Amino acid sequence: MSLASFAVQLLNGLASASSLFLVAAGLTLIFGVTRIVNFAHGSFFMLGAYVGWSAGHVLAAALPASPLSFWLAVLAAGIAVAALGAVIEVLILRRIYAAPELLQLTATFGVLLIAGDATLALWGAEDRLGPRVPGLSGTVPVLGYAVPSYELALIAIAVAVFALLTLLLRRTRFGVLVRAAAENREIAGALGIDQATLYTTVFALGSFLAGAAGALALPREPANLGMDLAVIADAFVVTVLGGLGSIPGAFIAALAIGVTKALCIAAGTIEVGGIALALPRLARVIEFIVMALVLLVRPTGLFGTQSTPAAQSISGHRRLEPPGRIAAWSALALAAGAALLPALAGSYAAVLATDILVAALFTASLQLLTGSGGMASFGHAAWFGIGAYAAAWMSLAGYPFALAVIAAPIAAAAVAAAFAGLSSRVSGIHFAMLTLALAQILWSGALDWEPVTGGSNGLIGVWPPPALADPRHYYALVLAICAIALVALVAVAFTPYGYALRASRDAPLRARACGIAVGRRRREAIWLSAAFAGLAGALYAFSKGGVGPDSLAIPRSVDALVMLLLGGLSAVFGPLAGAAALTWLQDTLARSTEYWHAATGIAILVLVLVFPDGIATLGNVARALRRSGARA
Amino acid sequence: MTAILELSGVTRRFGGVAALSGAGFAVGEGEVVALIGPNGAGKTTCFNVIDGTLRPDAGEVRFAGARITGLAPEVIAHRGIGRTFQVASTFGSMTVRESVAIAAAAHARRDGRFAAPPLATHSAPIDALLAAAGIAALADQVCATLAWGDAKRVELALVRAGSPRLLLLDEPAAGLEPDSRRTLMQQASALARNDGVAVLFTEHDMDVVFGFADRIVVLNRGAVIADGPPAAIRASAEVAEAYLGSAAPAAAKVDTPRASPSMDG
Repeated sequence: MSLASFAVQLLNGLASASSLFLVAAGLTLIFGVTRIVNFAHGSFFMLGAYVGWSAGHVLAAALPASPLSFWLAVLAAGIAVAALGAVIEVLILRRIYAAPELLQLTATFGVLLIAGDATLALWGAEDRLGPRVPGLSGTVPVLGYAVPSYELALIAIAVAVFALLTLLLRRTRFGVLVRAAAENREIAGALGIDQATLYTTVFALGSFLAGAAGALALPREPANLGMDLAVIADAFVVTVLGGLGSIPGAFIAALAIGVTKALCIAAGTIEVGGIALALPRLARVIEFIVMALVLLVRPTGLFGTQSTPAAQSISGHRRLEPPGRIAAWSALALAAGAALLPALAGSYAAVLATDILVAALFTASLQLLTGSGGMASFGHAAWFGIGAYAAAWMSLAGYPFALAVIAAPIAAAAVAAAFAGLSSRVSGIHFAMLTLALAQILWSGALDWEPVTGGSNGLIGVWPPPALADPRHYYALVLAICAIALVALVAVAFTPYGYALRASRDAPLRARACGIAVGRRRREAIWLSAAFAGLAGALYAFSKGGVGPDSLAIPRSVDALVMLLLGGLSAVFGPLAGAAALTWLQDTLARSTEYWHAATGIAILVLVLVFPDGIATLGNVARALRRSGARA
Repeated sequence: MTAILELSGVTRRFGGVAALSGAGFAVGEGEVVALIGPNGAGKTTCFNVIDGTLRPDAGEVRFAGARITGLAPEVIAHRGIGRTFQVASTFGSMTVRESVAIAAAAHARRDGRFAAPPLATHSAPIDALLAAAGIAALADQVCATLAWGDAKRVELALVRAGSPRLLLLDEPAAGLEPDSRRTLMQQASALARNDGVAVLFTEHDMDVVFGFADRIVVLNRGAVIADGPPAAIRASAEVAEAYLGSAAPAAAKVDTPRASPSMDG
């Protein structure tokens, strides 16, 4: 490869980095002040692209041949998205600033689902090709290669925005307020800073950046419905890598990722010790690898100062009540009812009930990690997917069904034990991001490692033995396995280990001073939880007849979080309730409306706003009713 | 009296500030020692170094004859050092009974058992621990809802569940009304008198310090400026200066901690 072609790749990488920086700067600004990990930021980027596309068409008609039309469209997209962001902040987020972090995250994911379907309704499913930018549609010769001049403009814009943001934060009164609130919200509030206005303003500014970035991305990639999740994963990586809340950190991290990606693509396939490494393929996950490596060395990112106290903010010290006699009888009654279900309701009900049980087991495994352990995970699908792929691969390789089902949790736990050892210094939101990175790396591996994983088609033809071919029979087996596994998970929570894990979450210093090996208890929670998730993955693979990369993707991880929070982080029946509610809801909605994502999003928002403790804690419902009765 | 805890030359810096600089003192078995000094003298840093939360930059900590410098807090706890925190820390999501039970299980090294029967919360030893700490009536209360003084008593019960040979109490009496203050300190003294447990405590209330300590160690700017029985400390001009006068000359005058007016018990 020549130096010149490398330089061109580098410029291309810098242009991508610039786009990424604009999105990440907004995200990190919002996080710094409000402490909200905002999934909807991806939607703001996507909406910016679509609004920019529409506005561009309108303006091009109004101002024919004017170079201004594109830039005015970018501005319009930014302003429209900023307004939307402000409305969302006032209507939804403002009500949940005091809620546990994970709940806020779930709410923003609900917004993402709604925004995604709204975009589908307004602009349709097909990709919208962006305009050529008047005056910048040509190329500039660089070292004998033609470089699109728009890419150079994009780099200049990112540098200018970085400079402006730095000036804004360092030299203006607004900047002082933002930095004060980021440093310590309580004191900033006590000093008389109008927090409500500040938060809304910051949210609008961050959304403006995302919207404008979306419109600016149009000439390089068409507006499409997958943009939101794709960009939010990248933006999370940049903000975490740079240090949450740090604008210079986001700038440097975006550059580092852009350049590393360019290097991977430019290097092509290289040979190391006789093994051919296709580096361009690595470009898909290189950012996650970079983030994982940085977090292992600097657990709070390049410019990060402190880790957010994960334990308290996540659990909110909700008590896990030991199940009493009533709970035990209800569980028995539930199991008996579930056992009779196929006879009463037929095989479709059995398929749906299988899905619910698998989802409940997956969610219960997350409850051990996040509920009892206080460790949030944004990548729990990693363990589910490893289990699913391991079982599918064994089954296709000719091993018996039982062996495949047993191997799945072992495979997941083994990978998890290694991951737990590596990540032991990383905590809080950074740990959650590291799990996300792992899941994304595995997801990309599943796509690329075709001989073993089947690539994007996945592994198909994975069925249980003939005796279980009838969905009702397979359901009976899943019911037996899940019942045992769910009871085992509840039992673990009340063993000395379960209490020690919760003690480590509630007060880590106190726990250590009592002689509890907090670090070891947490590492055990990671692999124990992974084993159960892996088992769920195996049951899933055999119920669907195969497994694809989607079993490792972000939506699956988020589904587990949503089900957990719907059911209640610290409710014994929470995972089952949450899984039943979400799975049934999605199934019903998917059959009745094209916009079932949005319907799910609305349901999530309603539940989060009305039942912040989860639907399984019915005591809260009773209390809420009594309260509203008292008010009336 | 044999020393159970010995610190020598312990130094710990935070950035440019030395919270402890060459601090050294000892605590004997069954002895009640008060660690006092103005705000910022290094008392809590000293506790954190002893219990392993902080690693000292220099110096060593010996416990029961063995070097414990740099060991993890949970390892040091198992060696027999129990501590309370300035802001009493309990397991917020658990009942008092459950907290004491898990502390006792951890002491018996059963905290890693996940393929095991449920944690036994109702047993004679746990009832005895609750009764000894005077918190039997609080047994079923969730720790997050405890009043300040009750939380302190519960925390002491958590520490006692580990049968420590040395108790570190960080401002045990702060924020308590006089009655509870006396009860809590009497509990600690009784442990020292009857069971030979060594007690090292920090405290700002001089009535508590002079009422309960066998010996007093005075820290100023990270160094020990006096170490002796209460009467000698009361008479020390240097201590008075550190507390009342300008602290800088007092600290400057002392070359080594041991050179302070001969007050070694």
